[in-house]
Amino acid sequence: MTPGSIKPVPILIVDDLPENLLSLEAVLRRDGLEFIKARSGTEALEILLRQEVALALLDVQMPEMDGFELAETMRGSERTRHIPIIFLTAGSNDRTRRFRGYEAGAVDFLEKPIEADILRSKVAVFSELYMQRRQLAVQRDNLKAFAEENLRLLKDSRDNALALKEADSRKDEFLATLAHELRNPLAPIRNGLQILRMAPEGPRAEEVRGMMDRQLTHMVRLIDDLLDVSRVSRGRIDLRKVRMSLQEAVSSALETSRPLIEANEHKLTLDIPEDPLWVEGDLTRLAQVVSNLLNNAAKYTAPGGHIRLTVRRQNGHADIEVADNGLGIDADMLPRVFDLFTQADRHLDRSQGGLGIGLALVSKLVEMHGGTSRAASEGHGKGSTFTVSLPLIDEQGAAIGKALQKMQKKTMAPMKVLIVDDNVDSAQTSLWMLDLMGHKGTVAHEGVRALEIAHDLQPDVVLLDIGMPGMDGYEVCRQLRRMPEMKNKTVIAQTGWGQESDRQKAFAAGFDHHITKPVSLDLLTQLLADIRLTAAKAGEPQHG
Amino acid sequence: MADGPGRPNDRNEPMRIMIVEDNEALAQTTGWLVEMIGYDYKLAANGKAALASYADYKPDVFMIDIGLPGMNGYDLCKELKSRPDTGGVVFIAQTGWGEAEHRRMTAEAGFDHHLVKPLYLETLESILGEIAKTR
Repeated sequence: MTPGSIKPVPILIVDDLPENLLSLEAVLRRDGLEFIKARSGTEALEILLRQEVALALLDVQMPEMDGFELAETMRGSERTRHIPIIFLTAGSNDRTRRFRGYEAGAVDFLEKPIEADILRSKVAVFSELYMQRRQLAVQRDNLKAFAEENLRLLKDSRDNALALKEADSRKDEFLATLAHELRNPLAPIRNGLQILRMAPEGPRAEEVRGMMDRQLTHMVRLIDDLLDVSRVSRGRIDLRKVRMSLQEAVSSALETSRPLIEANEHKLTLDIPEDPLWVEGDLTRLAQVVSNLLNNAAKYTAPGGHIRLTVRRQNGHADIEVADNGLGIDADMLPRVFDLFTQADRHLDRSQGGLGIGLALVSKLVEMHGGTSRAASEGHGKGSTFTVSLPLIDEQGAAIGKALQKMQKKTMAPMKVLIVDDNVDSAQTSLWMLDLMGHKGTVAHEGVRALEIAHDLQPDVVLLDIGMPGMDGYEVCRQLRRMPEMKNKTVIAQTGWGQESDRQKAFAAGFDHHITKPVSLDLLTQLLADIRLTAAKAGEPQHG
Repeated sequence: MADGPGRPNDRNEPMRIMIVEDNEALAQTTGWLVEMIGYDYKLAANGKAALASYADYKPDVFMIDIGLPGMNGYDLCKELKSRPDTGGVVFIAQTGWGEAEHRRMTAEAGFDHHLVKPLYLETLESILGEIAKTR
C-alpha cells in the first residue's frame, strides 16, 4: 500500500462533557488517528450510521442514553455489532455494573481518572487490528477483481476456442467436400482408363476419350475456382475494368450456365431490359458472378423447378436478381451464405454439388466492383433470391464513353509493335495475332537486337518477354527507358509468372503493363485498344 | 423356366446389374466395365426411373449412387427393399463419401456393400464375382 492511500483510523469518543472530550483527544492524538466526537448516545448513533469506526470510547454516565444503552443499541445492529467498545467509568467498579457492561458488548473498562499510557496502548492495539482488517478487505476486493477478470478471460478464451473450433470444423468439412468433388470427375476418368486398357480401339474408345477430356476440363475448372477464391481472398486478383453493358455479362453467363439448367429441366425466365445498362467492370468476372448465381440456383432447385433472372435499373444502381423455387435457406444459414466453404446439406452427395466457394466468389468480386450482394429466403423449401447491385455509370459518362469508343475506331490506325521473345514460336504467334488486328509487328529474338530495332523503328508498343538468355526483359526495359525516343512509349511485360512480386519487379523496371502467358487474342486486342485510348485522352498525336 | 420369388433371374443367364447413377459419364463407363467383366447392365438416371424399370429388368444387383437428384440413394434402397419382388437382390452403394459415418448410413439404409468412387476394376470384379457365386 502506498503511504498516500493510508486513510486515518477513525476513533469515536462519546462523552457528555466537552472538556472530557478535549482532554481524551489531547491524550490520544497522534499521526494516523482521527477522532470523531459525540456529546450524547443519539449523536453517536447518527455518526455511526454515516461512517465506520475502528473503536468506540464510551463514557458510561451520560444523561438520557447512558453508555450501556448505547452499547446495547450498537450490538443490535449488524452494521455496528463488531465495533470494539471501551467503557470509561468514574470509579463505579462494582461487579454488577461491570457485568452489565460486558453483557452489552464491552471489550474493556478503564476507570477515571484515565491513565494516559494504558489508554494509548489499548487504542494502539485496536487501531492496529482495524488496519489489518481494512488491509484484508482491500486484498479481498483485489482478489475478487482478479477472479472476475480471470472469469472474463476464461470466457473470452472459450469463445475464441469455440470460434476456432468452428472454423476448423468448417475447414475439415471443406476438405472432405473437396475430396468428394474431385472424386466425382475422377470416377469416370478411372473407369475410362480401365475401359481403354481392355479395349483401346474402336468407336467406344473414341467416346471414352471424349468423355475423359470433358471430365478433365471439369476438374481443371474446379481447381481454377479454388485458386481464384484464394487469390481473391488475398486481394491478388486484378480486374480489367472497362465500360461495358451488364447485358453482355448476362448473356455470357447464360451461355455458361445453360447446359446445367437444361440438364435439370429447369424453367428459366428472363426479364432483361433492352437498353444497355452501363457499368465499369471486368466482363469475365461479372459474367462469372451471374453464372455462379445461376449455377447455385440450378444446384439447389429440384428438376423441373423455376429460375428467374431479372435485371433492372434502381436509382443509380443495376440490380441483377436470380430467384428460384428450390431448396431455400434456413434463417440461421442466411447470414453465412456468402462465407467461404459454407454449404447446405453436405451429407447427400448432390451430383451438382460444389465446393461452397461460388457464392463467396460472387460476394468478393461484386465488392471489388463497388457493389453489394444479398440473399433472401422465406426458409427451407421456400426458394431463394440472390441480388447483386452494381453502380451504374451516369448518362454523361456513358455519352463520353461512346464518344471515346468512336474516337478509338477513328484513330485505330495500325500501331508499330516490337515483339521481343527468344521463343521463336511464341514470337511468331504474337506476330500473327498483331497482324490479325491490323497492327504492324516486328520481331527481335534477343535484347541487344531489340534495342537496335527500337532505335531505328521507334515502335508505339514493345511486347517484351522477361525470361530471355543474355540480357533479360527487365534490363532491356531499363535501357529502352533511357532512350529519349522510347521514354513515353508503352512497354508491356509478357511472362509465365503472375505473382504480385513479379508484377512489382516489372513496374519497378519501367514496364507499363504486365500480362501473363498464354496471352489470348481478346486480351491483347483489349490492351492495345486501351493504350490507344489513353494516348488519345492525353491528346498525344501518335499518328498525325 | 419360370422366375420364382427371390430368384429374379435365371442362374444360367449372365447376372443383371442395374446401375442407378445421374452422372451420365460415370453411369455409362460403369456399365461398359460391367459388360466387359461379363455381366448384363441397365442404366437408370434417378430413383424414379429405377423404380419404374426394375420390375421388367429383374436385376440381381443394384449399384446405387447416394447423391441422386430427387429421391436419394438411401431412400431408394429402403423403398426397393420394401417391395415384395426384391428378395435376394444385392444392394451396392456407390458414393464419393468414404467415412465410417457414411458407411454406417448406407448399412442402416440396407445396403450390402459400400464402394467409394472412383472404382477399382479389381474391386468391382471381385465383389460382383462373389455375388455371382452365391446366386
